[in-house]
Amino acid sequence: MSDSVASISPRGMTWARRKRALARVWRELRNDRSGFSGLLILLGFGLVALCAPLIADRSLLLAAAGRNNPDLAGPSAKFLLGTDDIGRDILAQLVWGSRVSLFIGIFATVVAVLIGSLVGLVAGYVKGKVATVLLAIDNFFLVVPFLPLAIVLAVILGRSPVTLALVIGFTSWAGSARLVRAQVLSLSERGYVERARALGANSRHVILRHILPGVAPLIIANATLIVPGAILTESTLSFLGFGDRLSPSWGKLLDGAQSSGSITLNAWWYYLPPGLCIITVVLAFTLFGRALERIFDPRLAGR
Amino acid sequence: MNKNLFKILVALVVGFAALAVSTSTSVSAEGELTFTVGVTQDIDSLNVTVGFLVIDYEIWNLTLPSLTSKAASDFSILPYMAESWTGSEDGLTWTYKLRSDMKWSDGEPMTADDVAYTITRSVADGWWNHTPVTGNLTATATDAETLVVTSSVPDPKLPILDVYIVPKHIYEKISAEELPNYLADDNVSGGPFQIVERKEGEFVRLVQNPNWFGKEPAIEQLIFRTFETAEAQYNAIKAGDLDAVDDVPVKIFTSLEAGDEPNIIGIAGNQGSFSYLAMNSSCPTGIGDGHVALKDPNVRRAINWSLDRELMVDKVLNGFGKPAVSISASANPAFDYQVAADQTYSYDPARAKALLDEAGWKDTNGDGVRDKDGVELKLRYFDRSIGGASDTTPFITGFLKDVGIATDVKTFDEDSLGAIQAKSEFDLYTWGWSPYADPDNMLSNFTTAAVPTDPTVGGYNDGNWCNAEYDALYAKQKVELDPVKRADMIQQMHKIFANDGPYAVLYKYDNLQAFRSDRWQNFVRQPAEVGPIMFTQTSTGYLDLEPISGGSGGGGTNTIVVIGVALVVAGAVFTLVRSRRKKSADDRQ
Amino acid sequence: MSNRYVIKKIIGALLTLFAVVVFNFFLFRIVDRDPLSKYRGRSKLSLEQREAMIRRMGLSGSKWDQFVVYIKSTLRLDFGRSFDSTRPVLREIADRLPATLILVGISTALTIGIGLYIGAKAGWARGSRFDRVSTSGTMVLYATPEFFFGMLLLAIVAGRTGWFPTGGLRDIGANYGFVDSLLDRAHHLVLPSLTLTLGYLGSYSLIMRTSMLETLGEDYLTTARAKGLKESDVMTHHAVPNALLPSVSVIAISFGFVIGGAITTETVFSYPGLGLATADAIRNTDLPMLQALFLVASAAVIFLNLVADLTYGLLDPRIRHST
Repeated sequence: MSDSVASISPRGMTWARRKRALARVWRELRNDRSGFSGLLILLGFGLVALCAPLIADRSLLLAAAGRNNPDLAGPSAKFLLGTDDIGRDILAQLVWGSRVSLFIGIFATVVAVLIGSLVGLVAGYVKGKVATVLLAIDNFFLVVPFLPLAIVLAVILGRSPVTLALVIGFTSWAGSARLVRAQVLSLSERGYVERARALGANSRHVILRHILPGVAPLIIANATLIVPGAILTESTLSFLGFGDRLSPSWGKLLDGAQSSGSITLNAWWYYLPPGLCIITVVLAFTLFGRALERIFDPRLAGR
Repeated sequence: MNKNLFKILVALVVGFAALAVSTSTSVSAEGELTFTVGVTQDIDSLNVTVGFLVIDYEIWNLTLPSLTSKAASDFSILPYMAESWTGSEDGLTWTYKLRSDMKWSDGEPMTADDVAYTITRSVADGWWNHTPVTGNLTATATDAETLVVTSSVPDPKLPILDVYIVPKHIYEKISAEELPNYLADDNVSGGPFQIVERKEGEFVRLVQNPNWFGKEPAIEQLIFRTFETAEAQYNAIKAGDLDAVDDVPVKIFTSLEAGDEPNIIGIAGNQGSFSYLAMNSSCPTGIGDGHVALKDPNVRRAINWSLDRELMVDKVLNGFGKPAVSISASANPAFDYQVAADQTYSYDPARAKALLDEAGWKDTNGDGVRDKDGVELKLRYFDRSIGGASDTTPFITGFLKDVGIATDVKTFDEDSLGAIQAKSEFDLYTWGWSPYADPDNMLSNFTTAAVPTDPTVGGYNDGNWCNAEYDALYAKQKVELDPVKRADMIQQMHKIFANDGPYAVLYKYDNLQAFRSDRWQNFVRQPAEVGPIMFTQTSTGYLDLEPISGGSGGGGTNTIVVIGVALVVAGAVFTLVRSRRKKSADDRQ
Repeated sequence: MSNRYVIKKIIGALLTLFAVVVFNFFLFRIVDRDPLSKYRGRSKLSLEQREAMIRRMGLSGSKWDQFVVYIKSTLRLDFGRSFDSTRPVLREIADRLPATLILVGISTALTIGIGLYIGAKAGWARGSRFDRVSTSGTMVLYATPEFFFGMLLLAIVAGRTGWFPTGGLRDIGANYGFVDSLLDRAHHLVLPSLTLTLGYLGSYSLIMRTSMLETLGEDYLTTARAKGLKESDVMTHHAVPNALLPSVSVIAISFGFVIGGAITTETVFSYPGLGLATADAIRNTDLPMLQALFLVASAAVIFLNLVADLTYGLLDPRIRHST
């Protein structure tokens, strides 16, 4: 009985502390013009992605959907962004494409950050052979040319959005592992980790209670900066013809725009919107991520 | 900026410029009249026993002779190495009289011996490009100008002998084991042109063969340049870097037809190439693991009824082609399936559904996919990764879904899909064929003998289909010397194939080509009027081309380069000087 | 810099290279690919012939036997024959290497030169107009996929104006003298190298700016100023050199991305280098080519990292003394 009372109260204190920290982050973010506008843009795209079925019917994506439409027609009242080379509504594809591109970007990042943080935490906390081996693996993934590896894996494992995300995540974790390890090393040298260890706390406790909270902000900021890379990679894979041809990602749209000759034919409504969407989302993630970095790591203020 | 770093950068740029110099090779003689063709395919092998791409055949047509040639108009026989020929009473033996003035490009005499050698060796080694024609032949050279060819069975293809003749003095040095790795890079030619330079993935350059004995071409130099994408290639002809291109994107081709580019003329040529959806029919003598449903001709018919071929011709080809329900047996449309539109497949999903119901495939568990005896009607669907080859996939999978057939799409490179076909381990896949002039070769692909039984050997029957009636008709037409009776048998084979066969043929498509009309004239289409101008059965069009005086062949860019480089250098110097000055101004403060 | 540091770094690089070699072996044996598919149905190979060819490719026997053969032949730089062209892989690579070296070399030199210059200037004058404009500009460059630049340059600049060739390495079959041939190559290089340069300019300049900002807080700058040095001297002699070090190592690490950029750029411009060879080899599942291309690309990144590490050791006093 008394045990539980005793344990609730520090937890409550922790929560209160975290709430305050969160409020601080929010306040600083509000004052960071570029970071906040990045966040707003992302929320906008996220909303579009979530509401895709309300904006455009999924059946508009089917190959036969352009049956009675003109091909490669410019913007009109019926087709706000015109039609593609087989007569399908481009706006509908952009809207649904935001789902695919954001899904792959975020899911790939989750994979990369999970692997990266785990490797970084362990390599930073544990010393000796394990750390050496982990560092060697990390070093390996840092130097292996990333795009060819991702393509080869995508070709071997198949090209659905989920496998693409896994492949991109699997090939882009090395940087965050390095970052997390460096942070863990610097935290470990601080007094309270040493004290906790001296007091006989087990590794799990130390990692979960003391190190992870210290590393978490960095991981979050870093994750925000991995997403744009993953989105760019997906578009590159699609553009080279190694993406999922049956999902309407932005990269796939660009590939279609290129192979149908839309640039030569001045069909700007086909090649510009997906390109601009990629640029905008990548830019927004980058601005937001850099703002988070600045907030979590005051040394970087002014960046 | 750090001065040392700047020096390093300058050194780097100079170093790379020097590297550029050292790798630049000097090219060709002065001012040759050059015809440059853009292609989106790279030669896969110049070895006539290995290569199989359209571009390979184009090079062989230009560098390897054949005993007889084919007319551009109707593929009838014309002299080539042989000047005249006479047949025996029974039609089994033909005696050819060859020209006496022929030499290979390396100066070695070209005689009847080369022809006899090619025929004999191709049968012995089983050269895949040759045996469909030479398999039943024996040949002897009675002297340098006389060749006697004997067939073991009546052969309607003779006296046309449509195979590439190889130089005996080169090939006899290569053993059967070494032949697959022979690169044919000695460039010995017996045709109008000879290869003088080749960079893989970049270009192949040919010049006139000095020992060529036929009509002298106006073109002195012929270049095939490889492009990664059809759009980049089109931009190159538009900018004047090319004289002609094969494979223009359909939408751009439409704009050409509308006259958007006054100096470029588009040619939509048809020589029977068609696309199809192969359905693994699981021939009992074959191997593989095709879906059980596809064994039932009614399911295959249902798939045929479910497809909207008109829509695919309209959207994928932009109208440059036409729907088809059977194969093109020959490049000559006279051998196509002659059937009234109402006698054959049209877009009728209701009929497809009825056929599937009748065959027992119904959606009993309500998941939107038909099933029977606990087996779902879900088919593996394979396509190819090369440009355009998979454009029909989203259409076809959509049509199949509409009638309750699910698909699982996977994309492969050509060789890998070929390996899967050799094992017959698929349900559905899309590919295309381009037929020869004589229908025999195409028709042979669907006989039981062509069904793959050993994955290492493979077989061309890629629907894994067998039909005794078809086999019997095939054997009969192969030895039928009366062309009218043979044509009739071929029509019967079409009927069986369309009704029972392993294909849902989609459409015949045009080869979309374009050339610079401000520079060249006298393009000859093959077959006459409907065919393309390049990549034809004999590729003789290059011999007829005439330059238009005044039309410039590319070039003329160097002045711009010099000006450009000068501008960049001037700009760099200016920036440097300015920054120096600014720096000293800062220093003085 | 002590010898121990140098040796340690070299051994590390060699170990990583070896790891790539081993990884290569396994990666490309997962793929189910008939090595003789090129010959299927096209020449009648006897069983003995097939076995002999497979043996020559080092694909017979147990995995361990194959591994030994593979390591031996890799050491001899014998990568076998391309499945696709049937030519020796080494010859294919040697043929295409110069084109890529020139493209990547020029673009990297330009990117580093311009990117670091902009980054340094922006970082030094933090918050200035130049900083705001250049940082937004470089962010947009960073966010744009390089193939998008390439597509636009190709169709709009080359296709419409005809000022530059639409692709390729040179005018094929043209008869140029030495100088003209050089200019011709330079002419063909302009758009691809511009594409690659624009593609990576953004990240390089952002890296340098960050590095510069970190340097600005350091004590020795204050010391330098206190000594009465002029601002411009403090910047060029103290701030920039110190900010360069970390930038160079980050850039060396990120060189792998430039290799990815070479793949897309060479594809867009049909520029026959190793990048295009990689895209083609993947499209054809040409395993021997892929294996070798992978090794070459990794070796390039490993080598550059080694150079960066050694330079770091040479220039950074802390490393010089401590190890």
